[in-house]
Amino acid sequence: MSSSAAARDSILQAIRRARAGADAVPDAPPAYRTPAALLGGIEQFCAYAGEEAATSEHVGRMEDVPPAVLRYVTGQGLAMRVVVAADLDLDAAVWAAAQPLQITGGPVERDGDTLVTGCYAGVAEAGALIMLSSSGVPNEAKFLAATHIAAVRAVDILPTFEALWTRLRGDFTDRWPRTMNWIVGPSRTADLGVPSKLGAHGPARVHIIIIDA
Amino acid sequence: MSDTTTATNDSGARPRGRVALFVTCLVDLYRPEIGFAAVQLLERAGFVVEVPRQGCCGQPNFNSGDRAGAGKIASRVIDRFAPFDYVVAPSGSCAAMLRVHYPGLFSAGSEARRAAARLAEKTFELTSFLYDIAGLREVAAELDGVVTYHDGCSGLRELGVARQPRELLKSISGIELREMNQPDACCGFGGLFCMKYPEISERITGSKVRDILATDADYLVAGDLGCLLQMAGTLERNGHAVKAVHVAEVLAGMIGPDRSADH
Amino acid sequence: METTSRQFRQLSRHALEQATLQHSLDGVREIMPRIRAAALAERGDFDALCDRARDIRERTLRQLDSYLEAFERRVQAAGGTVHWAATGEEACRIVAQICRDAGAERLIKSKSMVTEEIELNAALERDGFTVTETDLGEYIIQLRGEKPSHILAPSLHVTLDEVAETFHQHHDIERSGPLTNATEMLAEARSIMRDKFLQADVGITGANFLVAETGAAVIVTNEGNADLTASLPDTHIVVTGIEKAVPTLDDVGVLLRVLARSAIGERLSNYTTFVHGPRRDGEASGPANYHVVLVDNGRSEMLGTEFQDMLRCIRCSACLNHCPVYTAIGGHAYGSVYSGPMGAVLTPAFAGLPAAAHLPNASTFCGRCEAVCPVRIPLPSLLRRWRQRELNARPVMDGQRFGLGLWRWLNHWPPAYSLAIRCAARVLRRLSVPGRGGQRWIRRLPLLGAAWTDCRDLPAPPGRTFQDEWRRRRS
Ligand code: SF4
Repeated sequence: MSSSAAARDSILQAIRRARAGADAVPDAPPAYRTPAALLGGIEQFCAYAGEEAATSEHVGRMEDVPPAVLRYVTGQGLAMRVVVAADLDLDAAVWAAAQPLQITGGPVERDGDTLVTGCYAGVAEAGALIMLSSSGVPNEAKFLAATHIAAVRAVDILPTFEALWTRLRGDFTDRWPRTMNWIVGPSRTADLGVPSKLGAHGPARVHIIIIDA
Repeated sequence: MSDTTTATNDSGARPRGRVALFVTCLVDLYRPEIGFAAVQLLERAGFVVEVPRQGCCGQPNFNSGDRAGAGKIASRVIDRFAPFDYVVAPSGSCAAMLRVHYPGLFSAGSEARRAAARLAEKTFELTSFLYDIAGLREVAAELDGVVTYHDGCSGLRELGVARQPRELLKSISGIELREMNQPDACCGFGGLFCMKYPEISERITGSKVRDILATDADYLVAGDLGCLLQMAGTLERNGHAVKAVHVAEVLAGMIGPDRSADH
Repeated sequence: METTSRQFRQLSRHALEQATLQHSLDGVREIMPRIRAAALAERGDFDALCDRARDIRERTLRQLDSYLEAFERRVQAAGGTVHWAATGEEACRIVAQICRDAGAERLIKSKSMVTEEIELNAALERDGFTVTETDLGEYIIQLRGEKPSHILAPSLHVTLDEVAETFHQHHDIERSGPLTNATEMLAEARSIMRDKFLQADVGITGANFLVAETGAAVIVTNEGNADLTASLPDTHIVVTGIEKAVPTLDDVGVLLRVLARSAIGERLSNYTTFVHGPRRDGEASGPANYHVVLVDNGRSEMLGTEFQDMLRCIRCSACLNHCPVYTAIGGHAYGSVYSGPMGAVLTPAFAGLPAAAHLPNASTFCGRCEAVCPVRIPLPSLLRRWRQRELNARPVMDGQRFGLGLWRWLNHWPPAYSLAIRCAARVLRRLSVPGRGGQRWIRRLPLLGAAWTDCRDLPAPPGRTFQDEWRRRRS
């Protein structure tokens, strides 16, 4: 028996010993329900993301994303080159509309790159973007880029964590995505005094494009 | 009871009940006037006040880990105070000792535990008794000055005393109640703590004093003499003129420029 | 667990003398309660959430074995390996072996209190590995060879100037002038850290929660360093305590809601990562090897004891931020990686009561910690239980035991009590001198009383006790 297996036995035994004779554990209550007064939608999502220093805008359709990216990149004075993740369901022809923006499929290499991704969902109660690992996007890209532009469909913005769990359970039943990353605004650190400084390791800018249709 | 002295209710109406004053050992020793102020407030509210012979509530033992000793002291207090309708203490921390901690000192299901629970139920901190039980909403007192109120930790967190003293203080004519930053922060007293770790205690009180001074208040008011001794001693040592007074003294109208706190 | 808690007195005196530390602690005292209160105000259901959070943690602890086993099955099914370590040394050995098997040299780490507790870095460095902390605060103290002074903000005690100095000492900084502001220092750290991330062979993280339902290790950060640590190297090792299990995703949701609000006054930390296992076929990136090391190190021993409630702790640090003692002396004075009220309960459990006896005693019992604890741990009661054990372990002729015994005796004999109080009243009155406004003060007391008058004056009693005066007036 390896030492880890021996440890496993001794730990589990110690736990069971401690439990012995204790009262039966009551059943778990039904899932938590957020009071109606606190439930929010897209507006809450944008407001809360905004308080965490993310910016957001609305566009009508998926095809409107490239021009919005171009506007944002130009407005921020960023390099005219963006890495577009494969999870964004847009073909090259549509991106042509965003010229002179240079489009690449990655990877994110330089500290300063701008990354454009899709998004599994948004959660309004925290202003959080919910990203899943997938075959298309190297997971680390979301944390290496200096600017992250995420496109999320309005219908995917859920009010609460509970709504997200329901959706995840429906989509994945048993085989959970390898990683799920929740992102609220830019990376920051509080270790160099108050207020927090943006851009600790990951993006210093997070921009959300909400697709209404 | 031979060692219990009884006062008559001076409002003339039928007494609303017999209150035993748990005066606390600090008031007994350091500032008897607080005890008299409490008696006056209770009598004016229509209660008959008695003072059974008494000592400490046992907190020093309890908080030092001497449960057995605390239990012995508690039994004594329970015996002495059981006959009354109410037990009232001009201290949140001693009232909390009786109300919150006494029952747990005795084994579950025992008669002693039941007796402790009965006592706990009828024990109150002075201002919460006046406000919540006696229904008092204003007091007949005057004070021309700015006061700031410090929440004693046990009273606030174990008994929920916060609104009652403030409402009653605000009813005093001429008074201005000015909140300090973090009135709920500990003053650094902590019972024996201030003797065991005096430097840390001093530092905690230092922050508290800064918050008190920032209000520019004339009086620092609190409901616990322990906190008051700690803060008064620090204010005095550092030459600050703010007067530290007990809420009972203020409510009873014993505080004012012409009424010296020292007797 | 190694501690220097025996030197609490010296360490706290030292801390009180350090002006820059005191300045940082003032900041904690002022800011943290305010931002927490603001974050709570928005959630009308915060109390209900805390009750839930307490129940979830309580329920988990009472069936910890089955949740850990369920978690283990899930991780294994996803292709990961779960290791069990009864002690800190065992955990360190397991991690080192994984690193050796991976042929690793360079390791990166994201902040984890468990790894501080078991002193993992020191063990790995002894084994020849290079370890780099990637949480900025943790990185700063690593360079300085210090221990964390706050469970969430480990470099709280380090000033900006000191950070600049530290970077100059340890980095090959090409620029001519010194780093002068936080922005420059952050840029410097970011660029150094980039290389470390890209070159690392193994990434080590902690975990805030282990979800039995899905097998996820949930990791919360603000910097995003844990995400990089878990994504870039070829091997990811999660090292965490066995008590971190929670039953379901629903439970994680409740705990996350109270965690960030209590910790930093935010709705949610910036990054929350759920890791389920190693890279899958067809995935563009991710670690090929995934390990979870479950550390006991004294935790199972606390189960079923009067200290079990402490295992509910989610390490939010609210109790530190609201503690008058912590905000007076900071974390280092506790001599333990766990400081503040939670540290004062945990350290005696992990390091033994004799080594840490000061910690439970150095509390005013103000109860603010319990009031802000999101999982409602009765911290003062737990501290009081340690005091009880400590008192009982003292010799019979110990001064404190004697004093308490005497007090108990006096309170049992009213005549003796009255006499004692009467004497005290007169003696104290004698010792007093006139002060302002007609009040008399005691400026100096002998013997034990000096502990009072060294720091403050003592108002003089009138010399006659309330009880005597009452009986005189009423007779
Ligand atoms: S004891 Fe409670 S308040 Fe303190 S860190 Fe743990 S969970 Fe937070």
